[in-house]
Amino acid sequence: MPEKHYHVCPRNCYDTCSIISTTVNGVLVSIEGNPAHDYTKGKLCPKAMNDIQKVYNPSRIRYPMRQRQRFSGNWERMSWDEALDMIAQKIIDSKKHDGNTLSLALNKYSGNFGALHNAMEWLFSGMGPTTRAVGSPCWSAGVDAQTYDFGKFFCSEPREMGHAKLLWLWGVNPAWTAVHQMPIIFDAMDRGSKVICFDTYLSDTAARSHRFIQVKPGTDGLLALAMCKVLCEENLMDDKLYDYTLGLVEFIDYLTNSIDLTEAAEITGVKAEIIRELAIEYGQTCPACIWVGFGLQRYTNGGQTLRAIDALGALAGHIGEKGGGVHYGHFETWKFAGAGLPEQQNRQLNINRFAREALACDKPPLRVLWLSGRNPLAQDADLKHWHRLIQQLELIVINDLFLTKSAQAADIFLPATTHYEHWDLNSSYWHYWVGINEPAINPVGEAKSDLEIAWNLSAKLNRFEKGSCSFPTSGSERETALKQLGPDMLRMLGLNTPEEILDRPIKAKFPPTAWENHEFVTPSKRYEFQSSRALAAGLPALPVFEPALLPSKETPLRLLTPHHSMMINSQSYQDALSDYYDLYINPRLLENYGLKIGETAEIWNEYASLQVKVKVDMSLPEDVVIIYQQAIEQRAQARNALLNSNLSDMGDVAAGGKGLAINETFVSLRKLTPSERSF
Amino acid sequence: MLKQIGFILDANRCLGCGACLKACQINHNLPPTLTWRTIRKIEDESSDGKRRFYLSSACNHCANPECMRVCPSGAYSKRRDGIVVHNSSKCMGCKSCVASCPFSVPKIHPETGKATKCLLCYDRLDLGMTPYCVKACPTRALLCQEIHSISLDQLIRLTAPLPGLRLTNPSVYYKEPRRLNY
Amino acid sequence: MGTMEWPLVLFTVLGETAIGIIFVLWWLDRAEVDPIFYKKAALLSGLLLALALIASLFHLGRPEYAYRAVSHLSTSWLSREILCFLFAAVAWLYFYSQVRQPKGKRRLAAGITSTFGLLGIFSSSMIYVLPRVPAWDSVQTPLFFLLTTGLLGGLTCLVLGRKTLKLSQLQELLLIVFTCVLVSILSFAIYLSMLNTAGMEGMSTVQFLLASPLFWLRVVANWLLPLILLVTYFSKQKTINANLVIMLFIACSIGELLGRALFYLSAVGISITALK
Repeated sequence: MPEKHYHVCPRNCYDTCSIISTTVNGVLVSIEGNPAHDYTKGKLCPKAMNDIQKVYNPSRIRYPMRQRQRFSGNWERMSWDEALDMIAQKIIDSKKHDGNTLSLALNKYSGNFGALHNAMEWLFSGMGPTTRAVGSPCWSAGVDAQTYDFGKFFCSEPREMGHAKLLWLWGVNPAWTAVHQMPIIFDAMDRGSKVICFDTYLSDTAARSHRFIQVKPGTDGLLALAMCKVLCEENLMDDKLYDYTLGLVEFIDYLTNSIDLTEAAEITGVKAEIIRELAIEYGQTCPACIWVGFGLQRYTNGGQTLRAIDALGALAGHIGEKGGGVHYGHFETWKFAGAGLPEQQNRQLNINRFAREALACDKPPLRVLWLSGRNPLAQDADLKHWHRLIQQLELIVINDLFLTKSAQAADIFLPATTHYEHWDLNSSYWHYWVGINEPAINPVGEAKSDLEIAWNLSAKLNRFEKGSCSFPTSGSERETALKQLGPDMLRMLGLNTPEEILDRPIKAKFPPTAWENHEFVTPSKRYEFQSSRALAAGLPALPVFEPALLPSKETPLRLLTPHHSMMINSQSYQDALSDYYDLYINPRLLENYGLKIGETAEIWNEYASLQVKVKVDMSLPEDVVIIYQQAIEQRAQARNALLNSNLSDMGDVAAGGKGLAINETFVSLRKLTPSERSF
Repeated sequence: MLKQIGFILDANRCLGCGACLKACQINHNLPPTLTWRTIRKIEDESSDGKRRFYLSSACNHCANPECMRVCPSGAYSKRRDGIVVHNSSKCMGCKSCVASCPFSVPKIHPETGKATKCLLCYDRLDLGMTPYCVKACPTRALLCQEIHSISLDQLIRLTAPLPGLRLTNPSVYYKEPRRLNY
Repeated sequence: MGTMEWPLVLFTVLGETAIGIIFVLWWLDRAEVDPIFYKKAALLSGLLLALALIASLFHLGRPEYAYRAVSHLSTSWLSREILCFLFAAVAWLYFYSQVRQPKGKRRLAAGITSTFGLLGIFSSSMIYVLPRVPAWDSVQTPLFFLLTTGLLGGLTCLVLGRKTLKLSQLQELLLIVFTCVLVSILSFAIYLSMLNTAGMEGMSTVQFLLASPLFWLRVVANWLLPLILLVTYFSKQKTINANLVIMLFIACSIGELLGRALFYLSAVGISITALK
């Protein structure tokens, strides 16, 4: 008899789809979207459609393994008992040697965003104060910016965007990264709404819009401020601003004195008359909504950019407006109960400079590193530091589904379960739904969920040394998942008991419009153009324009690395792996460098060099090149070798640490002689 | 007029995401190298502006199918609802249809050596369901309809450069993509 | 570009040669023909026909279902082709039985066989007259197939009968060959120039041909060399030299095989992609 189960797609993705699986005799046979979900509406993206093939993929690792020598690929199967013995022994030894547990490090992020994937965090908290990767490689600057402006990081229910008469998609490419938002946008277009896309290149979303405004990278904040100035000049500001904002006069002063439209036009690449036209349209249209993507805050001025766009929304009176607002994301439905362990005095390392900061640690130095839901060797900046850190580490453990690039550095590989094999609880950072994830099949091979691994290792630790880990040694996965719905979450979801979520996914009972009635949660309870918290964090109190880094003579090209529609960071859903990356460039660059389409060329900077195949994108500026996220063969050099860990301006207040200014990576391009080409 | 079921694709809504293609491939158990659907990216520019869009297409279920005309074994037939069906048990893999279809639709299945193509999920239609591709489309860009029941004047078709080819009379219509102000 | 279709190249060229031989035998049979030559030629035609039919099976993805091929005579030229060739094969058996009988009705049988055969060749050429493929979609295709029939049928008989046929018969055959070569050259020139104006696909076929060394080899083997040899021969009108016949046969066989291979290789199908 076929059986049905609920799942939630746990990828680091806006849409966080509700999935229903069908199993026959314990085998997963099909998956489909859950039609009862009002955001994903029973549709799945092609990434998720590959799930069954992923679950039963022959290259999935089914047993714990040990690598005799790092990067050798000589993996030997071992039993869970042996693997956990080795890890536990190393932990106990390190603790004995140092007299504390700070040499034990955990680097965990978004490989699976389920609440129970915090189990590794819980395990480490149970051992004592340890070293942790904190912050986010993704959205930190924007999170802090909205925290300064609104008091917390929150946005309207995404379907509300459908009410907008004017929709600005700013540095966001939902056609590739949030397909379920597109029908909402298209329906609005069908009803006569106008959609304008702002980006540095003609994305697929821009191609589906009415109008495309090409902005030079890192100058979006200035563009927003210039439009703010137009709103002032044209007297298109909300006349109630004095009732609910703080620092309006100071902000207008700043605009009057420091922002010049002609200069802004030159810097942003958007003509002054177009800036004026856009601002007037935005000021006159109600409701008008802005959706800001994550890419434009991955600059050293990224936080300011978001504050400037927020200010534009506020000035025009679109904040708190039904169908208006400035959408970015939210974290309101992620208030999981956790494991109830005491807060530890952890040694916190910014996830974006983890290797760099880890190498600087002594007393004690890092000895053990656990990678969970992470693939830093294919994703992180500072790769040279990573390789030095790897040499220093005495034990590297990774739990994952496949032998990733980072697994090549590990000593022990622990096979993880997919979301078809374990209990979990998942929320979205975009829509308001929370759903339970049930296991549909038994774990493939000897794979174990993160929670089970954490229990088993805690049991080992306590067997070796009683009291060495306060995390439970066993339990029920289902109960643990349900327990994540504490009183706050239950109230938010309108549930009496956690068990009610077993029946269906639930949407949080928030008012659909964020900041309705202008009830902000800043220290002043107003929208803060002028933020004392920003000032206290060493930042300008007002949203101001600070230039982003520009290409230099040696490295004249800005390398952008946007998400691909078939990738989630290093997780690939592409059908075939390539040996190389494609580099998209403006046709004029092709001419300047004497290159042909499809020719192998080299890009390099002070950190690394990389051979790529050249392709053409007519819409790219001449100083911007693109490598999309793309899975390549393991032996090939990954593109993150070119990254340096420049940090964004904000992230410390609400996001746990500053973000990565990944869009300030600069490279040089070179034609290769046939003998230099490796493909 | 005879009944004719066909696809209708709103090129303004198609993201080229591949959900249709994947859903078709998975549910029809096609091998990884074979798809019944193809997605093409099209870019053009005129004085009215630039266009970049995707065309997801499968069999056109032509009113006068070339495949059916040339097939020596009568493997092709047209149902009363206009769906062009390929009966694999009659096929001997002579590739006549592959050579003659102006839309490059029939392909040789790598495992059976026979021709194979989109059957518009007629078995699902018979049960009142929509084809897998239509069901999967996240933006509702792809629809399946009785084409004589709708107004076709706003819709366009893939059009052959030669008059002889137009005679196949494809039953798939597209909503023309707008041009971008850029 | 199209693909190299060896099974089809062999099937068509060998089949056409076989039918050509039978047709020429029927033609020569107006007057007295050397019986040994006749028997040899008849046997060879059967052999070639059998080889051709076997080769055709290799084109099929599922040759075991070849019998289904005759079930769509109403519109499919491929069905008609196969039916005609099957009838031609049966007719050949009858033809050969008559050849072996001293007083057999061999002329009638040759006529029946070559009629089915020529219908088969015509059908076989019509398979390729597809609106989708400008390189094929013209009168040149049936003409090309029929010219191969005449040229290789005539040349094979010339080679077999070079010592035993009468001079007048040999001259008659050489005239057939000469006519075929001339028509072939002229029609191909017209075809190429027309194809070059038949849209992108036609032009790319022309470009492919002109850039292909195989095509130029064909120009020499199929047209130039035979033309020179034949013009030289007809201007001198001496006795027929056996070497001339053999050289013509080899050159034209190579030329026709190349021509057929290029016929498949240079086909560019229109793939309709434009919206209107």
